[in-house]
Amino acid sequence: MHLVLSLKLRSLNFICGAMLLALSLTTSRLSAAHSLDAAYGVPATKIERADDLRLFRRLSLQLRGVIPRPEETGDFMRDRRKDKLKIYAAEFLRSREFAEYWGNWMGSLFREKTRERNQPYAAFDTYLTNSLNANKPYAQLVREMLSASGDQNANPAVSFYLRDMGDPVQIAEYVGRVFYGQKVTCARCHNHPYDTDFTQERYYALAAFFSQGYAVQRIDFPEKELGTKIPPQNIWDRFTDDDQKLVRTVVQKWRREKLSKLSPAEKKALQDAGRLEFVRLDYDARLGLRMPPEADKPRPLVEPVFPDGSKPNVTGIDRRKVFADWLTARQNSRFRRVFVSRVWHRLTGQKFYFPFDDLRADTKIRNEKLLAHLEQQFFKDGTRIKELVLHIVSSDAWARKTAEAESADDSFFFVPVRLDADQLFNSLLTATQISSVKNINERAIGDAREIKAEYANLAGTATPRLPREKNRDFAAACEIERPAPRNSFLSVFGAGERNDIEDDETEPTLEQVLVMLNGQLTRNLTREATQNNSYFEKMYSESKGNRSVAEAAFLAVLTRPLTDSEWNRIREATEPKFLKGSAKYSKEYAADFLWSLINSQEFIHVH
Amino acid sequence: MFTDRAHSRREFLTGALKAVSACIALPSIGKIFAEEDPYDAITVASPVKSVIFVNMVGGMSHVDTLDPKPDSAFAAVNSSIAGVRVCETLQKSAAQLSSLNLVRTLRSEDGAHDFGQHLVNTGYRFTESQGFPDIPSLGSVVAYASTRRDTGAYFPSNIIINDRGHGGSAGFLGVKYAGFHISNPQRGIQNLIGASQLSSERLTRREKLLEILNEDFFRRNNPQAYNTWKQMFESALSFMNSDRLSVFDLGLMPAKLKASFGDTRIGNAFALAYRLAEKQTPFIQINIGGWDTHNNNRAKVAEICRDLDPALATLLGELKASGLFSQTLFVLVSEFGRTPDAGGKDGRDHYPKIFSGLIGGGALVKGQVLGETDAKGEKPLKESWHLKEFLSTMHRAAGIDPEAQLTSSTGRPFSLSPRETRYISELF
Repeated sequence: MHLVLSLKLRSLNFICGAMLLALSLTTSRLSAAHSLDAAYGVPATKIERADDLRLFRRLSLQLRGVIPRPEETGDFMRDRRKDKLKIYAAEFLRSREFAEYWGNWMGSLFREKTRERNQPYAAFDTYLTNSLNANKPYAQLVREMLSASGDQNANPAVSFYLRDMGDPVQIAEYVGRVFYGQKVTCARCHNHPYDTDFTQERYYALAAFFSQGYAVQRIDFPEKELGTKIPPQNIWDRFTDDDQKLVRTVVQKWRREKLSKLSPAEKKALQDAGRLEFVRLDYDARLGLRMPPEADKPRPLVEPVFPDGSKPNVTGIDRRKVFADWLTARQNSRFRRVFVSRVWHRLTGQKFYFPFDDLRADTKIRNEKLLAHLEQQFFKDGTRIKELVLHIVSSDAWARKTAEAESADDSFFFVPVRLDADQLFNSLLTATQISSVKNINERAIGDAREIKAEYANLAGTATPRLPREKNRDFAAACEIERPAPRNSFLSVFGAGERNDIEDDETEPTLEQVLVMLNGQLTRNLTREATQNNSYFEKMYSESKGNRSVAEAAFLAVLTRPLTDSEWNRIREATEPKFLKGSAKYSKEYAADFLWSLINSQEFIHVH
Repeated sequence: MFTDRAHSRREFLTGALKAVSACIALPSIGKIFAEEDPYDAITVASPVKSVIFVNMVGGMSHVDTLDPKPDSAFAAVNSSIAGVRVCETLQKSAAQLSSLNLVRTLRSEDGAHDFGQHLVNTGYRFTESQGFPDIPSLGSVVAYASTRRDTGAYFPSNIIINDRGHGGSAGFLGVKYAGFHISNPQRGIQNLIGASQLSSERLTRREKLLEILNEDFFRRNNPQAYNTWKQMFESALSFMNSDRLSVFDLGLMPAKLKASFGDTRIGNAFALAYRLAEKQTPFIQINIGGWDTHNNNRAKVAEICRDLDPALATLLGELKASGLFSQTLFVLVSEFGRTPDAGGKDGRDHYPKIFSGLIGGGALVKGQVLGETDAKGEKPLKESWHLKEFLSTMHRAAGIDPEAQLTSSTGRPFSLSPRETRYISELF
């Protein structure tokens, strides 16, 4: 009886969800009726939308980190539905590529490293990517990470703390900057030079929230032997003086009465038993934090204080949970504003303020009305990231075209930006149609665990791909470990070292141009893509003409059809004798053609 | 008016004012001024053609390298400067120290990596440069000042070897002076020769197709927005056609010399730097990371120095033997030092209060030791110099007037060195 009922409820839930989405699709029109556009402030008459095909490409690049496949482009062009862009946006959000591409961005936000000593390979990446795929609310993700303990196999969210090995002072810096937009690094060592409210004591008061967790790689004091859990000796100064004495007494007693009586072999066995396969984060409610000693005299434990100066009640409660609750509370709009600003920038290139991790009392916000609107919408949608993205990309503001004339005012026009490393890598593969010829997708089977889709109906429908240890075949940028190997294509195009928040570099360099013109990837792809029996050769064979090759190449690389005038000009300029109908397929010609397309300005930018 | 003589700030401004009024009064004279070499305004007399700038990224522990103390993790050895000892981690380089000058009392307020590296690479504290969103790095200023020497096909005048990411931004000077990153000196020219395997017919076809595609695209889209990439592109083509590419081929170096640098990343970096200095490349930066030794200080410092010492010693030796030192400025510095008193831990934290740097070559004096630290290496005994002053010295020694100004992208005058920063005159 129960089973039937629950099944009925679940399907009802699904139907309701689907209806809700359908409802939102039809009621939210592509005009000034979109609440975002009203808040944006620019009258609807002044914003010109780019054409649909352009927007389709932009949407795919921004949401999935890759250009559309030529068959997708064909489908889109034939699609007659008025709100097809929004429908595709929802599809893209459900795709695994969204989780992969935005998962990598979250990774750069949290300085995720695929390969960390004594941690499971790609643990953090897996957690972030899967959470995104499931459409886990952002506030929930943050709460999970901030209250995590244990090892990553048991609780992958603990990767956040283990990135800094549980060091409360390091953690305080990144928690402040990533979640609260508060950059007070200077106050670690002395009072903040110009933010006079923030003293060194306040910095430590923030760090005090994270002082009860500690990283353990080796158990020095076995719990069974001592009858109680004791942290490593190097953090005993986090105990009160009394607790320190207590712990010391217990350990000394054990050493005197038990340890000294063991044979060397027994001692070694004990040591070996204490080695953990993976580092983990343990928790002890007695721990706190002291400021650095003054004139060699240790200072008392610091009381935790919230970043806004208010004092928490932490008696008997896990301080980290207290902090997490405060941070993600409804009243704390700053937490949502900081995140929303980053997402808005990713999708429109506009900055509400900058840098994102340094929001001060005197920071001037560009378009406060819009930021407030987005923050409230984000809250209304349960801080779900996919809903936020959908809300943004279905506005006219997002869809603004690029400028034709000299004007570069980004309120009215979208400023083109070069494809980032991930987008470029993925798009090159798609553009040269390599995967469909070599069935690369079949080799790239992800190892992400199955997630239950419980977070609204934008939850992912496929399993995202992740880096695999010792892997040598890459079908997508998401399979490459981070930080990207220094000599890799991704690194050349700016993929960061993961030493700081969002440390990918976007400025174009000479080396990048050289790599696009002459590099290994370009050479291999253009050659492989145009061999006999390749996709492009098939295009030629099917119609006995280079025009088909050109058309296929335009669609695959530039996401648009080839026009007659373009073809005429191309044909005129390149060896007319060679291109007469009776000529055989020339893989050199096709390769040259493909090469010029992927090196063109049009391909290499998001516009 | 704008001669090679160093002039004070006041003089420069009144001179500029005269030029402007002259322009207004007599258009023909104004035209003459417009043709003046803009680099004269920012340069001073100097024999230096090349700057080799070694950036120790992460905060190099001074007591474990250039300023040995009882608490150092390593023993001290004699150097070629009488009475001066350095750590055994740099024992080979110690023999070459007399070619350089050692400053042991540098100081800074910035103890965070990003602020610290910003200062090292631009000569400005981040907080002081906040009015300028895009200030140029030291290297790009040196490259810019050397422009008039630049003839023929494009060749980067600002090269950064190892660890892309630190330094190199040209800011408002334009991407032409941005640092050209070479992450692996062994394969420095890998991406330059790729196209040479194709027939000229194919190359022409590729160029033509690309031209058509881009021209067409710009007819329909505002080219301004794509300028950065376009500029890069043109420079790249020029670079590829350069006949000066052989400098990147370490294989052309005599085998014995190459072995003496060491076949390591650092060894290769120094070897390439030497070759570039031979060709008078204006600015060569080598970034060496791994110095942020909060843990495992001893092992990590030893590991870096194992590769660094022979490379550095060989470079200094070669510069001296070949006579290149008279036209090459060598600088070695870090964003801060590390806590001398680690309390018994094998790890040192950031310590901007006092740290060491090396500078020498060109017309600078030799073998001087400036500043002395206390018994532990925590405080200066007498004088200390701000890192800004050290970097300003680099400007001056390289032939750039630290007080000169350029016009930034917002139209504001930008001083190459922060206001009221003196360079260390004792070194000249």
